[in-house]
This record gives sequence, C-alpha cells and structure tokens, in this order.
Amino acid sequence: MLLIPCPHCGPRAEIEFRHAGEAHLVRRTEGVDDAEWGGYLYARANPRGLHAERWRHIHGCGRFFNLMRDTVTDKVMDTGDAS
Amino acid sequence: MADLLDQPGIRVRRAPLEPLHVLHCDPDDAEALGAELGVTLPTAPLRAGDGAGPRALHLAPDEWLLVGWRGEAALTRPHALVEVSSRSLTLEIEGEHAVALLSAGCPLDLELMPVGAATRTLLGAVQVTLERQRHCFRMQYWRSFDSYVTGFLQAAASDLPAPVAS
Amino acid sequence: MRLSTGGRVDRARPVSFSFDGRPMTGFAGDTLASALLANGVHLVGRSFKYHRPRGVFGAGVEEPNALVGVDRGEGRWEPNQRATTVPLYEGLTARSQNAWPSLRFDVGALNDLAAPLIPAGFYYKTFMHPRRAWEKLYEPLIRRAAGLGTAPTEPDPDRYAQHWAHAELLIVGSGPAGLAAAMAAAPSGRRVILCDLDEELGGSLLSRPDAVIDGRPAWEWLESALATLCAAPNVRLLPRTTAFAYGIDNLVSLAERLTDHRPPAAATGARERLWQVRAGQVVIASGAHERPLVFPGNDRPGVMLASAAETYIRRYGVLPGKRVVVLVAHESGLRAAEAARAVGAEVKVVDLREEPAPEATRGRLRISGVKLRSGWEPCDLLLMAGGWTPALHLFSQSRGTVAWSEERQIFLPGESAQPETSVGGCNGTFGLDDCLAEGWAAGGDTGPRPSAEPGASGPSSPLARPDSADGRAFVDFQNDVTAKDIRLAVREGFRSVEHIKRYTTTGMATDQGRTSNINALAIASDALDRPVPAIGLTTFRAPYTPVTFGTMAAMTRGPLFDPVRTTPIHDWAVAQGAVFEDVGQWKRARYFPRAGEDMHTAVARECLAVRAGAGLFDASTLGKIEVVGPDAAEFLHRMYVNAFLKLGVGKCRYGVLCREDGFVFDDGVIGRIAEDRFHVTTTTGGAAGVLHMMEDYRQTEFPELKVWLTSTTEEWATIALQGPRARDILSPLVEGIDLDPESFPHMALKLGRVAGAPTRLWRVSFTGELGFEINVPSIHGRAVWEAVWEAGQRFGITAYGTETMHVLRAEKGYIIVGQDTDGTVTPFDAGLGWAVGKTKRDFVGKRSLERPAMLRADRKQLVGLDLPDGATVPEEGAQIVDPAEPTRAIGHVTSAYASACLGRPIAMAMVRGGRERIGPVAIAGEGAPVPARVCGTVFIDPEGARLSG
Repeated sequence: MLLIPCPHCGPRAEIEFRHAGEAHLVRRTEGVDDAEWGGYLYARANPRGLHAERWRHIHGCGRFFNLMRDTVTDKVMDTGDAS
Repeated sequence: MADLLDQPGIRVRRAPLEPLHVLHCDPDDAEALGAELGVTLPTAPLRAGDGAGPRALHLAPDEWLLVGWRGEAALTRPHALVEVSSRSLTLEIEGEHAVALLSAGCPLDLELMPVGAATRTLLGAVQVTLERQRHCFRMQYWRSFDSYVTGFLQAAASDLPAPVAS
Repeated sequence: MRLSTGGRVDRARPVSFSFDGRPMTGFAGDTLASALLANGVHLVGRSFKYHRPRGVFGAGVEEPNALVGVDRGEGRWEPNQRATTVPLYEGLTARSQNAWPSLRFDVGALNDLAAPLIPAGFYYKTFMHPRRAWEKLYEPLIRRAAGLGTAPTEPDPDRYAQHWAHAELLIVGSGPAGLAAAMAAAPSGRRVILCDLDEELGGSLLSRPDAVIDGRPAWEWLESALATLCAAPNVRLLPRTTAFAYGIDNLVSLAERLTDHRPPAAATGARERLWQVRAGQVVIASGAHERPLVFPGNDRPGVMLASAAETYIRRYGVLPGKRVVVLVAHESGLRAAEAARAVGAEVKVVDLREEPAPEATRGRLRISGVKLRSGWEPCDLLLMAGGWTPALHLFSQSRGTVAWSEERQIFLPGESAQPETSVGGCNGTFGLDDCLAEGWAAGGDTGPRPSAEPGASGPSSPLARPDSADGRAFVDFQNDVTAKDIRLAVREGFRSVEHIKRYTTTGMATDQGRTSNINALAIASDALDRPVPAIGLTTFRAPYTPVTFGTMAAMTRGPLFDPVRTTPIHDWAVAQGAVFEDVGQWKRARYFPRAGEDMHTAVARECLAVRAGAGLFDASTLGKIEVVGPDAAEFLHRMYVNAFLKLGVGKCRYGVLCREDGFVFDDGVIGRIAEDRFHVTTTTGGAAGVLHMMEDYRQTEFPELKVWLTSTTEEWATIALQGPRARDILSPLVEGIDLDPESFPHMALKLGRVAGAPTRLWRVSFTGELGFEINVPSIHGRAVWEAVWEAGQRFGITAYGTETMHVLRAEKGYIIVGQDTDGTVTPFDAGLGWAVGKTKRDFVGKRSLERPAMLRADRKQLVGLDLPDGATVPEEGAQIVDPAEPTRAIGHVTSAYASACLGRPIAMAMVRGGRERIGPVAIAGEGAPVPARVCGTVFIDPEGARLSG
C-alpha cells in the first residue's frame, strides 16, 4: 500500500486517497474538432514508466494534487505540485 | 454522557451534541474572518484551536470546522458558512489503550499524532474526523454510520493486542 | 524414539493427542511431527499423484510430505497443515490425507503402478476422446483420484483481529542475526517489532545448544537476550507471527496465531490477528532452507533433511532412527551425524563430494536400506545434506532483484528496491559469528556486539546436477515431480522456467518450492545446457505460507462487512413492519405490508392512497450539497445542463447533471435559499459521486470561482408529504409560512418552522400529486415525522416505500437515473431536452452533445409503452423488437409496473428513434413476443393539473 505525500497533510496511506487519472489534461471546449475532443475524453498516455497523475486525498483534506508515479516500480515522487 | 465502552485502559463515551459549522474561505481571508466570527482559525495545517469556548479545526487549506460556535456574524469576505450540527455524532476515546483501539481501523501513526492535531481519516470503512486532545481522542462521523462505528469499536475492544513490555 | 534427556520439550507436562484415531502422548513443546516420530510413527501421508508412502521430511515450513488435517471441533477443520509446524496441545486430533481406506493400505497406490502412464503433463495429452466423456467421466475421476485433504464444510466460527502498527524497525526472523539486530536497535528508543513464525523465538539457535555466544551456551544467551528485549518498552516481540507479504512503501503484513497452540476449550478470543506494519526500515532475517538430494528412491519415509534430524534430536529430544546414513554434499551434514552419534545412534557418513549419489533405496513403509557404491547399506534413517538455499521470498516480494553468485552457486539478495536489509542465512551468511555481526550492523551497531567463535561460513558445494533420469528421483515431493519429468518438459520444448514450472507443476504446491526450486533449476540447466541464472527464478508471490481466509478478512465480515446506514425515520418504519431494501449502503423501506398483504397488494394500496388522500415517504437518503459563495449560481450554471443564473431566491428547479462525455450522470431538484446559497439534491446512490465530481471541477477547472461545497446529506431529514390532502395536513403544523398556492406555487421553497423545528419547506413532487418535501435538521426528523403522521390520521395518511415511489413517478414519466438511464443516455435521449439551457456558453457535457453521433435520429429514446388489456407486467430489461424483424433488438424496457391507479401495467422503454416511431412494437420474452405500442411517457394527468393545485 502506497504512502502518498499529500501536499497539505503529509505522507498518508493509499486507502485515504482516490486516483484521479492523468494530470495536465487541459479542458478546452471551444475551437476543438471532434477528434481532439475525443482525445481529451478518452485517449491517455498510459506510459510504462514515469506518469504524471492526479490524486485526491478524499479521506483527508479533500484536495486534488499532482504527483509522478513510476508505473513499473510503483514508486511515487512528490513533485510538490498542489495545483 | 453514556458510556459505550468501559474496560481497563479504555473508555468510550458519546459526547453531547454541540453546534457545528463548516467554514470555507480563501486562506488569505482566514484571519479577518476569524476575528469577525470571534474564533481563532489556526493557519497551520491539521491543527485544532484549544482552550475553552468555540474552537476551529483546520481540516483542509480552505476549510475549518467550527465547534461550539453559534450566533450571527456579519462577515465581510467571501466565504461559505454551513451549519452541520445535526450531521454528525462524536465519541470521546480515552485511556492508555486508546491508540491501540483506534489502530484496529485507522491507518495513521496515532502514537505520533500530536495533542492539538485534527484530521479527517478512516476508521475501517468509514470516514471520520479525528482530533487529539490532552486527555482523549474525539472522533466525529456522520450519524448514519453509528451502528458500524460503535460495532467496530466494540469488536476491536475485545481483541486488543497486549501492550508492549507487559 | 524419545530420548530421556535433551531438547526444549517439557517432560514434566505430557500431552495426549491422536493421529488417525490412534491415541498417543507427547510433551508440551513438541510439534505434531516430533511427537509422531517420538512414538515411532514414520508413515504420515500419501503423496499427491502417486500415493507413495511418505514420512516426515523436514522440521519447519519447508515440509512437503507430512500434511495432515487438524480437527479442533465445532466446525474448525483445517486440511493441509504441516505436521512440523502444528504445535502439540492436549487433545489434538489429527488425520492423515489422501489415503483410502488407510495410510497403510491405500487403494490410490495403484497410481504408483500406473506411474509410467501419468508423467508430468499427462493430462494435456490424454483423456481427450471421446470428448463427451470429459465432463461426466474423466474429470470427476481425476479429481477424486488426486488432491490433498478435504475442505471444511462449515462456516468458520472463529473471529480474527486486525491492527495497524508503525515501527521505525521491523525485523523478520529471530535467529542469531535477527536477535542481534533487535538488541542493537533496542537502546535507541526506536519502535522495534521482531516477529518469527515459530512457536518460540530463537530461530536456528533452538537447535544449537552446543553453540557458544559471548562465552555462554547458546540457550543461556538466548534466554537473557529475550529477557532484555522483553523488558524494553519500545520493543514488541511477536512469536507465532508470519510476515507473509512485503508490500510497497515498506508495508509488511503479518499473521499472528493467537490460539492454535491451545486446546480448543481454552482458545478464547480472536484466533489470529492481522498486523499491517508500516516500517521505516525492514531487516529480513528469514534464514535459509536445506536442499534435499535427487536420487532414485529419495522419498521414502525415513528419508529426511540432515538439519531436520539435528533439530529433532537437539530441540525436541527425539531420535528418528537408530541406524543412520548421512549423505553429505555440504559439510553442515556433519553436524547432524555428530548429533546422532552423541545420542547413541549408529552413523555412517557418505561424502558425496567424493562418492556418487545412491542408486536406489528400499523399504515400502519405512526405509530399510540404501544402495551405495559399496553395496546395500541397511538403515532406518537416511539424511540428506544438499546445501542451503537463502529464503529470498520476502526480499523478492519487496521487488528487490535477486542475483546469482556463480562462485557460491546460490541466489542471493541483489539490489534493494525499498529500505530493507537482508542479514544472516537469507543473505547467504551461514557462520554464527558472521550472522551476529551482520544483524548487529543492520540494527544500528550501537555498543559491543554478541560474538561467537569465528568459523568458516562453509563453502557452498557446487550445485548438484543430478543426471538421473529415473522416474523415482523426486525433485518436488509434494507435487510428485521427478527429475525425469523436468527432462521430459525440456524435451517437449519448454525452455523458460515459467513454462517448465507450470508444465511439471514443480514448485507450485503449498510449500512453494522451498526444497525443490533450486534442484529443479539445476536439472533444467543441465538439460538445456544453459547456466542457471539464464533460466532464472520464477517470481515469488505473497503469501509466504498459506494464510487463513479469516485473517485476510479480519474484521470485515458479518455486520461489519459494509456499513449499514439508516435514516432518523428508520426505527419508526421497523415498528410499522416495513420491508426494507438495500440502496447502496442504506436501508430504505420498500413497502409497508398490512396483515395478509404481499408486496403487490401493499403497493397497490399505497399507490391508490397517495393519489386519493395523502402519503408519507422518507426521502432522507437523497444526497444534499450546500453550494455557497458569491459565484454559487455561476458554478451550478457551468455544472448542470440547466440555466441556473436566473433561478430566483425561493425557487426550485429540476437539474440534470451530465458527465463530460455528454451522458446523464445524476439529477435532482435544486433550491435557491439565498443569493449565494443553493441546496442541491442528488440521487441516493449518486451523492458521493456528484460531490466528488463537483469538487474536481471546482478545484481544477474553475478555481477562479468563489464557491464552496459542503455535504449536508445527513444534516437534513427529508419528509415527503404527497397527495391532494397534503396542504390540509401541513397547515396546522407550520409557523411563519403561508401555504396558499398563490403565495407558495409548485417548485418554490420557504423557510420557517414545522412542528416547532426549523425547516426548509419545498413544494416539489415526484408523484405528480400536490406535494411538499419537509427538510428539517435530522435531530428533529423523527419528531416531525410523527407530528405529520399524527396530523394526517384523519385524512387517511398512508406510509409508502420505495416501490410505490417508483410506480407513482413512472405513471408521470419521471426518470430514475441508473434505471431509465445507463450511462449512455443523453438528456435529449431521455426527453429532457427542455432542461438544457439553449443559450449557455458552457456546461459539463455540452461539447460532447454537439457530436454528430449524439444527434442522430435513430438513437434510443425514452418512450412509454402502451400494453394491451390483460397483459402481464413486462420484465425490466426485456428486449424490444419490430414485429417485422423479431430477431433484432431495437430497444429495451427500462421500468415496468402494475399500475393500480390505471388498472393495467405500464412501462417505460428506450427505443431506437422512439419518439418518431409509428407502428407496433413487441416485447421479446420466453414465449411469443408481446405486442405493444409506443406512446408518451406520462400516463396520468398529462396536463399537470394535480401538481399545480
């Protein structure tokens, strides 16, 4: 069970969190064609290796934040990205 | 206060109902709003105010839980103030085995939780708000989860690990 | 036979037990295996496939043969227990497995005669014809002929505890290395947990009374070391505790056995405890397993590991045989020879570093002789010292990389992936002094460390490459895999260790290849002519040893499996005899049957009563979110499809929430309490999901908005009063609220008091009747409910449940998200296009709704179904077809009920191009398709007159 570094609460057990998908996806609703929009909805990088992703500390402060996780080793890197 | 559990080293009691409000605001406005409300809003994360009288638990960067505050206040900064006095029940857990009891279901390192700290966390399958005071832990949860929480604590109390160095 | 002195058993405390019905005696401190050997019982089981007679082989968890069932009475039957790890207690009842009618005369032994026909993988090549025979004949036969143990048939009556723990240092294994680490760490004040799966702490020292540490006999040193650790307030000692899983970020799972060493009558309390330990640092001191030797006939009762014999002699005071032959491929075997000699056995040492391995053995139910180069040597105990394999399981689970040492011919821990250190035997360190030094360093190195005579660690012998292709040279004893099987697998083209393992099943039994993996690898390496590391080790997976299901579940069982949530009205409904249904974690009253009523009649009565007079319904489970802030309206305007900016204070609007993909996600009525405050409702099941989605947008997409969200689901009890008499019932109870329809129209809300409690009174309806939803703080919920009930008596008020609620709303064509929608339905599909704000710049899902696929005319659309007179209620989910093309589905029934008010069944359905469809349709079912016609979704009062009264 991961120990996830919440930017506000410090390192906490994975069960207090909810994974929230790939990070840095930009919601642009105007001036995008259907293919681009479909990409925003469904296409994901799904890398083997470092993955920028979002987590939410749902049973804690409730904030969404970003971090990097290696999808092969499962190691989490605190990027200090509370955005 | 009714005793839920009373055995050597642990006592669990229901705390009386008291006014509860959730306050949300921009962290930069907290000091001013606190002054207008008449409650100190701790700025350090996961800290609870202490002393007698109304206090605030800083549960998230933009969120405080006001305990024991009532009345009207003219607040001059953008904020959300929502009464939740009916929403939750509170238990007080005290005794030398309090940490052991809660550790049956709470993943936090409770031995190292400082007095005056407060956070949302889990007890088994239920989200709770846990506050460590000088003499006890206070655990708050939504009222519909009462049968689960009390059942959980009672089951855990009957199977506590022996204290170290006994 | 039992020795008169020696060992750690307590000869002053005899213990009675039975095996296969035969009563025997042992001593406190025995295992079942040591006690059986003391009583001269050498035949303890029959092997898995060939049903060969088998005896005790090892002395610990590595045991592959001596598997028994233990009966602790009252539904506590446990098969496949290793007799070498079952602690003896008064009255222990054990039974052998896999033999019928008895161990001595086992019919299954015929398999042994058929052995040439049933090598590894035989079932991939046989039992194929005739194909029909597989299900009825071959499979049942094979299942009956093979297998280990019988499964218990009763539910587990024991309870299991659980505990989260945190320690700066977790040490797994309490042999010399682990103990040294604990003693080094204790003075620092760090929290230390030391666990060991054995009944006693001490590891290999328990079999080494002859060793000397710090100038003292090992057992004396051990006693004082344990006393020191016991007295340290920061050190927790956990014997009988197996570290079975090493998880990410140093979370190690331990299973502590609390009562299995006691007679059942004395076994009170939880049977086991699951510890989830988050450790700053882990020291793995799990030791090593001795390897057997591979030669023909190496599996008879009386053939055992040399170190096991040493343990039985030195730790348990039992001599397993009087004429001993010791096969030494590793010098540690000499210790066993010496131990046997010291207690009077006749011992012959065969040094396999100079001589070839034996050619054969004999003795059916117990070994009687071994054929060496010099000829047949009589013996009743044949010991194998094949070298030592570090126990790398936990290290491997921690995702450390295992490394092959060509020089030492063993696998060792390589690069760590987590904060852990392997010390002692599991690190390939075998000398006692070296183990103490390694452990001490890992524990923090403070102060003078315990030391023993520096001795040679003992070179590892070259890994034996048995060239035997004999079908009786066993590699995996538990799964009956021979050297020949492995060579067969290689011949048949299996080259990777994963394939060889699965084809032969070597290493796949409950002993997880502890004594077989390396030998199998050596044979495969030889057969493939490739070096061992090139073939590799299979992945070690948790659990290290089998873990009881009860421990895995721990407290998550029975009433604590999932929270059961109840509303403030619940107890009232129980007293009224309501029948409940589960809605997520909530219990909701489904209907309130009176004497003699079934659900159908109760629901019919309730429906008629609501439309004729008034009904009372508990809607407290619906989600509620208080949306507050200067930008609250703008936020809701962006989240929901509806236009919300202009919703007036004191007004309510039915809101539809889509996901970004344009499909309906949730719905609910939203009331504006103040300029900057909205009371949003959601479905019961959708409450958490809607709040989560709103927070996501609030924090991530719209961070510039000044709006905040608070869950108020449990702050308010919601009492729905519905029916033409609703206003009459409510009037006397309200304070400060004008109920006059001019002043209080449909879809409005007012604040005031009801029955003395503060209220947010909404005039809304899910039934199509005049209706109110009385929101009061939940501490007042019950009292207000009873006040309304009381006031309604003279108007014939009727309590109704979710079933009636479903029927009444369906009669009005109101959808239920998740029933009439399924995550692929847009607002337009569901006939809710009217709710979509036409001039809104943006809302969640808007962009998706513009896609051509979402606008096609042939999409499934929500319609009503007009059913012929006398028809039965269609099944929800039934497929709908065009009668002209009855094998192609054009839609499905989403909701269907018997309508008491209409006197006939009604249904809602999603049908392709439904709104424009002309002509009949049919509902497919078991018999002939039932004819129906598409119609509007509102069956009662389509003008809505009853609502606006």
